[in-house]
Amino acid sequence: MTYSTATAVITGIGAYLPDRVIKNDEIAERLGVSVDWIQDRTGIEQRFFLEPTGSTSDMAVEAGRKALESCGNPAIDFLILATCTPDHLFPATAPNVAARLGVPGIAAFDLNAACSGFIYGLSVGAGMLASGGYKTGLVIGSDAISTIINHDDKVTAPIFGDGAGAVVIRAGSPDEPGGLMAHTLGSDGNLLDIMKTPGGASRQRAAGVPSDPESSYFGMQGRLVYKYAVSRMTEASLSIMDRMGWGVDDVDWLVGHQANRRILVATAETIGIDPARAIINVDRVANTSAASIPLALVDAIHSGVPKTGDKVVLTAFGGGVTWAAAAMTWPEFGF
Amino acid sequence: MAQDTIVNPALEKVRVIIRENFSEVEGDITPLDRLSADLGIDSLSLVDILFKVEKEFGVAIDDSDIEKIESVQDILDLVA
Repeated sequence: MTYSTATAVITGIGAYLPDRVIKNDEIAERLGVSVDWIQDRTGIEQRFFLEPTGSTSDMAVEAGRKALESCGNPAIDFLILATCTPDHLFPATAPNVAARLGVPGIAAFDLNAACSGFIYGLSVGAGMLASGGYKTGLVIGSDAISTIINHDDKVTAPIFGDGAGAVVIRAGSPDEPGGLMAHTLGSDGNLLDIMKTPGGASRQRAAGVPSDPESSYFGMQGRLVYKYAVSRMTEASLSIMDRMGWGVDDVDWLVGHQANRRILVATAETIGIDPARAIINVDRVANTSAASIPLALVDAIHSGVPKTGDKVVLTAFGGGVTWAAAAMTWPEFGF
Repeated sequence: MAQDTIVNPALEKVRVIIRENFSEVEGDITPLDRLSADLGIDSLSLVDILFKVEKEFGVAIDDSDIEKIESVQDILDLVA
Protein backbone atom coordinates (compact mmCIF):
# COMPACT_ATOMS: atom_id res chain seq x y z
CA MET A 1 0.00 0.00 0.00
CA THR A 2 1.21 3.50 -0.84
CA TYR A 3 -0.07 6.43 1.21
CA SER A 4 -1.03 9.48 -0.82
CA THR A 5 -2.87 11.54 1.77
CA ALA A 6 -3.26 10.60 5.44
CA THR A 7 -0.80 8.25 7.08
CA ALA A 8 1.14 7.72 10.30
CA VAL A 9 3.87 10.17 11.24
CA ILE A 10 6.32 9.07 13.91
CA THR A 11 6.68 11.79 16.52
CA GLY A 12 8.12 10.00 19.53
CA ILE A 13 10.24 6.98 20.32
CA GLY A 14 11.39 5.06 23.37
CA ALA A 15 13.24 1.87 24.25
CA TYR A 16 13.74 -0.38 27.22
CA LEU A 17 16.31 -3.08 27.87
CA PRO A 18 16.39 -5.17 31.05
CA ASP A 19 19.26 -4.67 33.50
CA ARG A 20 20.65 -8.20 33.19
CA VAL A 21 23.43 -8.16 30.58
CA ILE A 22 24.45 -11.59 29.31
CA LYS A 23 27.86 -11.64 27.62
CA ASN A 24 28.94 -14.33 25.20
CA ASP A 25 31.27 -16.01 27.70
CA GLU A 26 28.31 -16.94 29.90
CA ILE A 27 26.43 -18.49 26.97
CA ALA A 28 29.56 -20.14 25.56
CA GLU A 29 30.40 -21.85 28.84
CA ARG A 30 26.92 -23.33 29.15
CA LEU A 31 26.85 -24.54 25.52
CA GLY A 32 30.43 -25.85 25.58
CA VAL A 33 31.50 -23.64 22.68
CA SER A 34 33.98 -20.77 22.37
CA VAL A 35 33.14 -17.10 22.56
CA ASP A 36 34.46 -16.75 19.00
CA TRP A 37 32.07 -19.50 17.86
CA ILE A 38 29.15 -17.31 18.89
CA GLN A 39 30.69 -14.06 17.71
CA ASP A 40 31.65 -15.37 14.26
CA ARG A 41 28.30 -16.99 13.55
CA THR A 42 26.04 -14.25 14.82
CA GLY A 43 27.90 -10.99 15.21
CA ILE A 44 26.35 -10.80 18.67
CA GLU A 45 28.48 -9.73 21.66
CA GLN A 46 25.82 -9.46 24.35
CA ARG A 47 22.13 -9.59 25.00
CA PHE A 48 19.77 -8.52 27.82
CA PHE A 49 17.55 -10.97 29.70
CA LEU A 50 14.55 -10.25 31.87
CA GLU A 51 14.88 -10.72 35.58
CA PRO A 52 12.71 -13.59 36.87
CA THR A 53 10.18 -11.06 38.13
CA GLY A 54 9.91 -9.27 34.79
CA SER A 55 7.51 -9.68 31.87
CA THR A 56 6.80 -8.55 28.33
CA SER A 57 4.27 -6.04 29.63
CA ASP A 58 6.79 -4.54 32.08
CA MET A 59 9.17 -3.81 29.21
CA ALA A 60 6.35 -2.54 27.00
CA VAL A 61 5.18 -0.12 29.68
CA GLU A 62 8.67 1.31 30.10
CA ALA A 63 9.28 1.71 26.36
CA GLY A 64 5.82 3.17 25.86
CA ARG A 65 6.28 5.64 28.71
CA LYS A 66 9.59 6.84 27.27
CA ALA A 67 8.11 7.20 23.78
CA LEU A 68 5.24 9.29 25.11
CA GLU A 69 7.58 11.45 27.21
CA SER A 70 9.83 12.01 24.17
CA CYS A 71 7.04 13.93 22.41
CA GLY A 72 5.36 15.72 25.30
CA ASN A 73 2.96 13.04 26.54
CA PRO A 74 0.23 13.43 23.92
CA ALA A 75 -3.19 11.88 24.44
CA ILE A 76 -3.41 8.57 22.58
CA ASP A 77 -6.51 6.76 21.40
CA PHE A 78 -5.09 3.34 20.53
CA LEU A 79 -2.24 1.03 21.49
CA ILE A 80 -0.90 -1.84 19.40
CA LEU A 81 1.44 -4.28 21.10
CA ALA A 82 3.45 -6.44 18.72
CA THR A 83 4.62 -9.51 20.59
CA CYS A 84 4.89 -13.27 20.31
CA THR A 85 5.64 -13.67 24.01
CA PRO A 86 2.55 -12.20 25.69
CA ASP A 87 2.26 -12.24 29.46
CA HIS A 88 -0.52 -14.81 29.16
CA LEU A 89 -2.01 -17.03 26.47
CA PHE A 90 -5.26 -15.26 27.35
CA PRO A 91 -6.11 -12.39 27.59
CA ALA A 92 -4.11 -10.04 25.41
CA THR A 93 -1.30 -8.06 27.05
CA ALA A 94 -1.98 -4.69 25.37
CA PRO A 95 -4.98 -3.65 27.54
CA ASN A 96 -2.87 -4.14 30.66
CA VAL A 97 -0.08 -2.06 29.16
CA ALA A 98 -2.53 0.70 28.26
CA ALA A 99 -3.99 0.68 31.77
CA ARG A 100 -0.55 0.89 33.36
CA LEU A 101 0.30 3.81 31.07
CA GLY A 102 -2.71 5.59 32.53
CA VAL A 103 -4.97 5.27 29.49
CA PRO A 104 -7.49 2.53 30.24
CA GLY A 105 -10.44 2.67 27.87
CA ILE A 106 -8.55 3.15 24.61
CA ALA A 107 -8.44 0.55 21.83
CA ALA A 108 -5.64 -1.86 22.71
CA PHE A 109 -4.76 -5.19 21.16
CA ASP A 110 -1.90 -7.62 20.64
CA LEU A 111 -0.54 -8.34 17.18
CA ASN A 112 1.53 -11.47 16.62
CA ALA A 113 3.63 -11.38 13.49
CA ALA A 114 6.73 -12.48 15.44
CA CYS A 115 9.83 -10.59 14.34
CA SER A 116 7.87 -8.73 11.64
CA GLY A 117 5.44 -7.49 14.28
CA PHE A 118 6.67 -3.93 14.59
CA ILE A 119 6.26 -3.12 10.87
CA TYR A 120 2.91 -4.93 10.86
CA GLY A 121 1.86 -2.84 13.88
CA LEU A 122 3.07 0.38 12.32
CA SER A 123 1.14 -0.42 9.13
CA VAL A 124 -2.05 -1.32 10.97
CA GLY A 125 -1.70 1.85 13.04
CA ALA A 126 -1.23 3.90 9.87
CA GLY A 127 -4.43 2.39 8.51
CA MET A 128 -6.32 3.33 11.67
CA LEU A 129 -5.04 6.89 11.44
CA ALA A 130 -5.76 7.10 7.71
CA SER A 131 -9.34 6.03 8.40
CA GLY A 132 -9.90 9.29 10.23
CA GLY A 133 -11.28 7.50 13.27
CA TYR A 134 -8.13 7.90 15.36
CA LYS A 135 -5.68 10.74 15.91
CA THR A 136 -2.68 9.41 17.83
CA GLY A 137 -1.47 5.96 18.77
CA LEU A 138 1.31 4.01 20.36
CA VAL A 139 2.92 1.06 18.60
CA ILE A 140 5.08 -1.09 20.86
CA GLY A 141 7.25 -4.08 20.02
CA SER A 142 8.07 -6.07 23.14
CA ASP A 143 9.35 -9.61 23.41
CA ALA A 144 10.86 -11.78 26.10
CA ILE A 145 12.28 -14.51 23.88
CA SER A 146 14.54 -15.66 26.72
CA THR A 147 11.42 -17.16 28.27
CA ILE A 148 10.77 -19.53 25.36
CA ILE A 149 14.25 -20.65 24.33
CA ASN A 150 16.04 -23.74 25.51
CA HIS A 151 19.21 -22.26 26.99
CA ASP A 152 21.07 -25.47 26.16
CA ASP A 153 20.20 -25.30 22.44
CA LYS A 154 23.16 -24.15 20.35
CA VAL A 155 20.88 -23.06 17.51
CA THR A 156 18.77 -20.58 19.45
CA ALA A 157 20.41 -19.85 22.81
CA PRO A 158 23.11 -17.46 21.53
CA ILE A 159 20.86 -15.46 19.25
CA PHE A 160 18.08 -13.92 21.27
CA GLY A 161 17.64 -11.19 23.83
CA ASP A 162 14.76 -9.39 25.51
CA GLY A 163 13.66 -5.80 25.05
CA ALA A 164 11.00 -3.36 23.98
CA GLY A 165 10.74 -0.37 21.67
CA ALA A 166 7.87 1.97 21.01
CA VAL A 167 6.86 4.80 18.71
CA VAL A 168 4.14 7.40 18.98
CA ILE A 169 2.34 7.95 15.70
CA ARG A 170 -0.13 10.67 14.79
CA ALA A 171 -2.22 11.30 11.70
CA GLY A 172 -0.31 13.33 9.16
CA SER A 173 1.01 13.49 5.63
CA PRO A 174 3.43 11.05 3.97
CA ASP A 175 5.47 14.10 2.93
CA GLU A 176 6.26 15.03 6.54
CA PRO A 177 9.50 13.82 8.15
CA GLY A 178 8.69 10.57 9.90
CA GLY A 179 5.77 9.91 7.58
CA LEU A 180 5.07 6.32 6.57
CA MET A 181 4.96 6.49 2.78
CA ALA A 182 4.33 2.86 1.81
CA HIS A 183 4.32 -0.60 3.24
CA THR A 184 4.10 -4.19 2.10
CA LEU A 185 3.15 -7.11 4.32
CA GLY A 186 3.32 -10.80 3.50
CA SER A 187 3.12 -14.28 4.95
CA ASP A 188 3.47 -17.94 4.00
CA GLY A 189 2.00 -20.46 6.39
CA ASN A 190 3.52 -23.29 4.36
CA LEU A 191 6.72 -22.44 6.21
CA LEU A 192 5.10 -22.66 9.65
CA ASP A 193 7.53 -25.27 10.89
CA ILE A 194 10.82 -23.47 10.23
CA MET A 195 10.32 -21.39 13.41
CA LYS A 196 7.85 -22.59 15.97
CA THR A 197 7.02 -23.14 19.61
CA PRO A 198 5.03 -26.35 19.19
CA GLY A 199 3.30 -26.72 22.53
CA GLY A 200 1.33 -24.88 25.15
CA ALA A 201 -1.64 -23.85 23.01
CA SER A 202 -4.84 -25.21 21.51
CA ARG A 203 -3.36 -27.70 19.04
CA GLN A 204 -1.53 -29.50 21.80
CA ARG A 205 -4.37 -29.20 24.29
CA ALA A 206 -7.05 -30.37 21.85
CA ALA A 207 -5.04 -33.54 21.39
CA GLY A 208 -5.04 -34.04 25.15
CA VAL A 209 -1.26 -33.88 25.29
CA PRO A 210 -0.04 -32.44 28.57
CA SER A 211 2.18 -29.42 28.27
CA ASP A 212 5.83 -30.22 28.86
CA PRO A 213 8.95 -28.04 28.97
CA GLU A 214 10.37 -29.45 25.73
CA SER A 215 7.32 -28.55 23.64
CA SER A 216 7.22 -25.02 25.01
CA TYR A 217 10.67 -24.19 23.66
CA PHE A 218 11.14 -22.21 20.50
CA GLY A 219 12.69 -24.28 17.69
CA MET A 220 14.29 -23.10 14.50
CA GLN A 221 15.56 -24.68 11.28
CA GLY A 222 18.47 -22.29 10.91
CA ARG A 223 19.40 -22.96 7.30
CA LEU A 224 15.89 -22.36 6.02
CA VAL A 225 15.38 -19.33 8.23
CA TYR A 226 18.53 -17.78 6.78
CA LYS A 227 17.45 -18.60 3.23
CA TYR A 228 13.98 -17.14 3.55
CA ALA A 229 14.95 -14.21 5.76
CA VAL A 230 17.37 -12.91 3.17
CA SER A 231 15.15 -13.61 0.16
CA ARG A 232 11.90 -12.29 1.62
CA MET A 233 13.43 -9.13 3.15
CA THR A 234 15.22 -8.47 -0.13
CA GLU A 235 12.08 -8.94 -2.23
CA ALA A 236 9.94 -6.84 0.12
CA SER A 237 12.51 -4.03 0.20
CA LEU A 238 12.91 -3.99 -3.58
CA SER A 239 9.13 -3.98 -3.95
CA ILE A 240 8.74 -0.99 -1.67
CA MET A 241 11.65 0.85 -3.33
CA ASP A 242 10.14 0.24 -6.75
CA ARG A 243 6.84 1.59 -5.58
CA MET A 244 8.57 4.72 -4.25
CA GLY A 245 10.74 5.11 -7.33
CA TRP A 246 13.83 4.82 -5.12
CA GLY A 247 17.02 3.33 -6.53
CA VAL A 248 19.57 1.70 -4.27
CA ASP A 249 21.54 4.95 -4.07
CA ASP A 250 18.46 6.86 -2.97
CA VAL A 251 18.07 4.85 0.23
CA ASP A 252 19.98 6.53 3.04
CA TRP A 253 19.35 3.84 5.66
CA LEU A 254 18.24 0.24 5.64
CA VAL A 255 16.82 -0.75 9.01
CA GLY A 256 16.38 -4.52 8.93
CA HIS A 257 15.19 -6.85 11.62
CA GLN A 258 18.25 -7.46 13.78
CA ALA A 259 18.28 -11.23 13.42
CA ASN A 260 21.95 -11.75 12.88
CA ARG A 261 24.72 -9.55 11.46
CA ARG A 262 25.26 -11.86 8.53
CA ILE A 263 21.59 -11.85 7.57
CA LEU A 264 21.58 -8.05 7.66
CA VAL A 265 24.72 -7.74 5.55
CA ALA A 266 23.55 -10.40 3.09
CA THR A 267 20.18 -8.67 2.74
CA ALA A 268 21.80 -5.28 2.09
CA GLU A 269 24.19 -6.78 -0.44
CA THR A 270 21.44 -8.71 -2.22
CA ILE A 271 19.32 -5.56 -2.47
CA GLY A 272 22.40 -3.69 -3.70
CA ILE A 273 22.66 -1.28 -0.78
CA ASP A 274 26.08 -0.61 0.73
CA PRO A 275 26.10 -2.55 4.05
CA ALA A 276 27.61 0.58 5.63
CA ARG A 277 24.14 2.10 5.25
CA ALA A 278 22.49 -0.81 7.09
CA ILE A 279 21.79 0.18 10.68
CA ILE A 280 23.09 -2.64 12.85
CA ASN A 281 22.92 -2.96 16.62
CA VAL A 282 22.50 -6.73 16.87
CA ASP A 283 26.00 -6.87 18.38
CA ARG A 284 24.75 -4.98 21.43
CA VAL A 285 21.19 -6.29 21.93
CA ALA A 286 20.96 -9.56 19.91
CA ASN A 287 17.70 -10.55 18.22
CA THR A 288 14.87 -8.98 20.21
CA SER A 289 12.06 -10.07 17.88
CA ALA A 290 9.33 -7.43 17.59
CA ALA A 291 11.44 -4.92 19.51
CA SER A 292 14.39 -5.06 17.18
CA ILE A 293 13.53 -2.33 14.67
CA PRO A 294 12.57 0.36 17.20
CA LEU A 295 15.64 -0.55 19.27
CA ALA A 296 17.79 -0.13 16.14
CA LEU A 297 16.15 3.22 15.44
CA VAL A 298 16.90 4.41 18.97
CA ASP A 299 20.54 3.35 18.71
CA ALA A 300 20.76 5.17 15.37
CA ILE A 301 19.37 8.31 16.99
CA HIS A 302 22.03 8.08 19.69
CA SER A 303 24.68 7.75 16.98
CA GLY A 304 23.56 11.13 15.66
CA VAL A 305 24.22 10.07 12.08
CA PRO A 306 20.77 9.90 10.39
CA LYS A 307 19.31 13.28 9.54
CA THR A 308 15.69 14.40 9.51
CA GLY A 309 14.21 13.62 6.10
CA ASP A 310 16.67 10.86 5.19
CA LYS A 311 15.05 8.10 3.16
CA VAL A 312 14.63 4.91 5.18
CA VAL A 313 13.57 1.38 4.29
CA LEU A 314 12.44 -0.82 7.16
CA THR A 315 12.24 -4.56 6.61
CA ALA A 316 11.68 -7.66 8.70
CA PHE A 317 11.12 -11.40 8.57
CA GLY A 318 9.69 -13.59 11.29
CA GLY A 319 7.86 -16.70 12.33
CA GLY A 320 4.63 -17.65 10.62
CA VAL A 321 6.40 -16.99 8.37
CA THR A 322 5.79 -13.29 7.94
CA TRP A 323 7.69 -10.49 6.27
CA ALA A 324 7.28 -6.77 5.84
CA ALA A 325 8.88 -3.64 4.48
CA ALA A 326 8.06 0.03 4.76
CA ALA A 327 9.30 3.29 3.31
CA MET A 328 9.51 6.39 5.43
CA THR A 329 11.65 9.43 6.05
CA TRP A 330 13.71 9.93 9.18
CA PRO A 331 11.52 11.64 11.79
CA GLU A 332 12.05 15.02 13.38
CA PHE A 333 12.31 14.28 17.06
CA GLY A 334 11.92 17.10 19.53
CA PHE A 335 14.64 15.88 21.89
CA MET B 1 42.85 -45.37 -11.27
CA ALA B 2 42.75 -43.59 -7.95
CA GLN B 3 39.62 -41.56 -7.26
CA ASP B 4 41.60 -38.34 -6.90
CA THR B 5 42.87 -38.49 -10.46
CA ILE B 6 39.42 -38.75 -12.02
CA VAL B 7 38.38 -35.37 -13.36
CA ASN B 8 35.01 -34.52 -11.93
CA PRO B 9 33.89 -31.13 -13.24
CA ALA B 10 31.03 -30.87 -10.76
CA LEU B 11 33.36 -31.53 -7.84
CA GLU B 12 35.81 -28.95 -9.12
CA LYS B 13 33.06 -26.34 -9.32
CA VAL B 14 31.80 -27.19 -5.85
CA ARG B 15 35.33 -26.96 -4.46
CA VAL B 16 35.72 -23.47 -5.94
CA ILE B 17 32.36 -22.36 -4.55
CA ILE B 18 33.20 -23.70 -1.08
CA ARG B 19 36.60 -21.95 -1.02
CA GLU B 20 35.10 -18.68 -2.27
CA ASN B 21 32.45 -18.69 0.44
CA PHE B 22 34.41 -20.23 3.30
CA SER B 23 38.06 -19.30 3.00
CA GLU B 24 38.95 -21.04 6.26
CA VAL B 25 38.87 -24.45 4.55
CA GLU B 26 42.40 -25.82 4.31
CA GLY B 27 43.73 -28.74 2.29
CA ASP B 28 41.90 -30.84 -0.25
CA ILE B 29 38.12 -31.09 -0.37
CA THR B 30 36.86 -34.59 -1.07
CA PRO B 31 33.31 -35.87 -1.66
CA LEU B 32 33.40 -37.68 1.67
CA ASP B 33 34.18 -34.56 3.67
CA ARG B 34 31.44 -33.59 6.05
CA LEU B 35 30.71 -29.89 5.65
CA SER B 36 30.45 -29.04 9.33
CA ALA B 37 32.40 -31.75 11.14
CA ASP B 38 35.36 -31.97 8.71
CA LEU B 39 35.47 -28.62 6.93
CA GLY B 40 34.14 -26.49 9.79
CA ILE B 41 31.53 -24.78 7.64
CA ASP B 42 28.81 -23.12 9.73
CA SER B 43 25.13 -23.31 8.79
CA LEU B 44 24.85 -19.82 7.32
CA SER B 45 27.95 -20.24 5.17
CA LEU B 46 26.50 -23.52 3.97
CA VAL B 47 23.35 -21.73 2.81
CA ASP B 48 25.51 -19.16 1.00
CA ILE B 49 27.30 -22.05 -0.68
CA LEU B 50 24.00 -23.64 -1.69
CA PHE B 51 22.78 -20.33 -3.18
CA LYS B 52 25.92 -20.28 -5.36
CA VAL B 53 25.52 -23.95 -6.26
CA GLU B 54 21.96 -23.28 -7.41
CA LYS B 55 23.18 -20.44 -9.63
CA GLU B 56 26.24 -22.25 -10.96
CA PHE B 57 24.42 -25.47 -11.82
CA GLY B 58 21.02 -23.97 -12.69
CA VAL B 59 19.20 -26.15 -10.15
CA ALA B 60 16.69 -25.46 -7.40
CA ILE B 61 17.46 -27.25 -4.14
CA ASP B 62 14.35 -28.29 -2.22
CA ASP B 63 13.91 -27.02 1.33
CA SER B 64 13.63 -30.62 2.50
CA ASP B 65 17.10 -31.29 1.08
CA ILE B 66 18.67 -28.15 2.52
CA GLU B 67 18.22 -29.34 6.09
CA LYS B 68 19.61 -32.81 5.26
CA ILE B 69 22.86 -31.90 3.50
CA GLU B 70 25.84 -33.08 5.50
CA SER B 71 28.66 -33.83 3.05
CA VAL B 72 30.21 -32.62 -0.19
CA GLN B 73 28.79 -35.74 -1.82
CA ASP B 74 25.29 -34.71 -0.74
CA ILE B 75 25.74 -31.50 -2.74
CA LEU B 76 27.07 -33.43 -5.74
CA ASP B 77 24.05 -35.73 -5.61
CA LEU B 78 21.73 -32.73 -5.84
CA VAL B 79 23.41 -31.34 -8.96
CA ALA B 80 24.00 -34.67 -10.72
